[in-house]
Amino acid sequence: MRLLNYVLKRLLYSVPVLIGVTLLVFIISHAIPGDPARMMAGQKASREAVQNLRHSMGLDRPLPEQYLRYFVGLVQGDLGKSIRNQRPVLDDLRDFFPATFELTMVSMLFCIAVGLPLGVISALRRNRPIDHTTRVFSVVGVSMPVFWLGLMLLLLFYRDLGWLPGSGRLDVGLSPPPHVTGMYLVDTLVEGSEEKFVNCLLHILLPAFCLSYVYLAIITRIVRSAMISVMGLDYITTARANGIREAVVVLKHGLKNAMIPTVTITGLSIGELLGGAILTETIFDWPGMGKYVVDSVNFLDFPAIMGFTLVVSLIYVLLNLAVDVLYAFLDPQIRY
Amino acid sequence: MWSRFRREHQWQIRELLFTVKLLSRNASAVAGCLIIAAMVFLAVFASVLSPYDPIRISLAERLRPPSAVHLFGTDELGRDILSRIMYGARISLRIGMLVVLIAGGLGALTGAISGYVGQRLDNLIMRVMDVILSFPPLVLALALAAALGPDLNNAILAVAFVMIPKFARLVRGEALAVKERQFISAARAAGAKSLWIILHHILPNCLASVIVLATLVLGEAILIAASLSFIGLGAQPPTPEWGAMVSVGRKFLMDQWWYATFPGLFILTTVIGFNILGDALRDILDPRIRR
Repeated sequence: MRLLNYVLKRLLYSVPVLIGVTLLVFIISHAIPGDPARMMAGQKASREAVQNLRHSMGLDRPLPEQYLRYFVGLVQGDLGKSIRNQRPVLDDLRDFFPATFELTMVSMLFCIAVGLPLGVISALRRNRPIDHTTRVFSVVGVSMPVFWLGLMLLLLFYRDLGWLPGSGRLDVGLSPPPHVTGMYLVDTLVEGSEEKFVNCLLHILLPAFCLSYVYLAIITRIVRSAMISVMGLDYITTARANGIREAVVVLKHGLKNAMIPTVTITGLSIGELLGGAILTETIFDWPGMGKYVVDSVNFLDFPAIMGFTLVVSLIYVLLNLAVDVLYAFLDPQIRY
Repeated sequence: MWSRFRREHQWQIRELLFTVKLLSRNASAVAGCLIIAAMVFLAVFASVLSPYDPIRISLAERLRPPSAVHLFGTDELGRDILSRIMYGARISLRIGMLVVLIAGGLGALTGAISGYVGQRLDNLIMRVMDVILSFPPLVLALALAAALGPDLNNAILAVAFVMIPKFARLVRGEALAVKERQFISAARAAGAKSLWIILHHILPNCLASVIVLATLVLGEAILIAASLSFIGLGAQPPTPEWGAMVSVGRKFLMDQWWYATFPGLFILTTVIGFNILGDALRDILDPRIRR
């Protein structure tokens, strides 16, 4: 019951934050540019067209009224129309979302599959060569310009070694699988085409590694320091003194308790991965939301940029919420 | 005058010397300092050190691979990439420092006010910071930079805005602790105004942690600003900004590998410098983990 209370409280608390997010995006899109109508109509629009747009969008109304209209529109799923193709931005984002989601999930998998063991090992072998190597690896990771890493990976694995494809989600000769989830890895399996599945997998490896490296570094660091502090606690000594096998001590007594900070950082990383996807997708020509927003920047397609910003931050806030709730389940001692 | 300064601040000077001593014994701190010093050296003496004019176009020498004449090769307009990278150090360091000054100044001040005044104002300020933190940093910086228009100074403002909550939260936390100490009550009893106390007592006491954070933010700011330039929202050509150079170099990646490789290597190295120095400073200045 107390847990339910906590979850409800946490849910209520995120409502003002969500409203704040819409307000900030509104301020950025309506109040900062000198002339939002000109921005939304595009640089080439005629003066009358801009004037008409200003009136039809209610940009000649006072700002609070504009915000109210904007908010009501949002609740109904109206993110405005893209300048480039005149389609509703929400439809565009919905089309591009699965590719980004797929990339993010595979990256996350990388992060956990590599970051977790690496962090544990370097905590257990503290100040040994493997620990130093891991530390160098993670300092380089958090300092890495993602877009540059992508280019270097392309040079090595695509140009020089020729092991992996350099762009897109599928070879040009192959037809995309029928749309089920929009995630090719799933859809090709549904279609039952092994060849296409392998092809998709090869295509996703480089971008997913590129996207995951920064967060891999962060997760490794967090797991390492969490493991070090947990392994120093008395009950670990007790467990060892009782003659429990070292593997059980490390995995059951140690790692399980080191999971709490790890879950937090993993949840936050998914949100950040969505940000990192902007650069990665551009480099690898991955047709997701990130590439969509960079293309929009080049066209000065303002509604598209703002729609993307809003959607990504909403996902980010909801992920935070999910992490906090999960946190409460994992650690019965924590209640706010 | 100097002796008076030394007498009045003898404890601060001792503390500073002690910190420097600890720093010099810390290998990664020394490495970080060396990297940063090298970059500052490049930036300050770019006009003396650079073998060529960074924006002089020489089509006869376009896209030359690295050689003794052009150590890092040339770009599509025949400009010397090494010279451009040296001038680029000026831009990147300026970006980092401006972001830290703006975000650190505004963030520390709002954080101190928030923590010292407390109550409703504190609640309001912290909720605003929560909202800013509800965006992935690059995404918010991108939206702001797009709204302000593609320009390096706008990108700096955008990155600075995104960084404000980091400083505000940190200083607020410290201010909450500092304001309970006796010298604050003493100052208040002596009739000092709130703003005076914030500026003369609260903020100086937060300085150590602000410096640590500033070092780490410097690296992050350079990284985000370079990303914005890469997308086309920061520095515009012909400015020799590292991110923008990688962006153009990308078009020539498959045949002229050196174009995108070297500027990116300098971004990475500079950011590593700030990050390892920042980590080492945190270990040294935070007495809780000082060993």
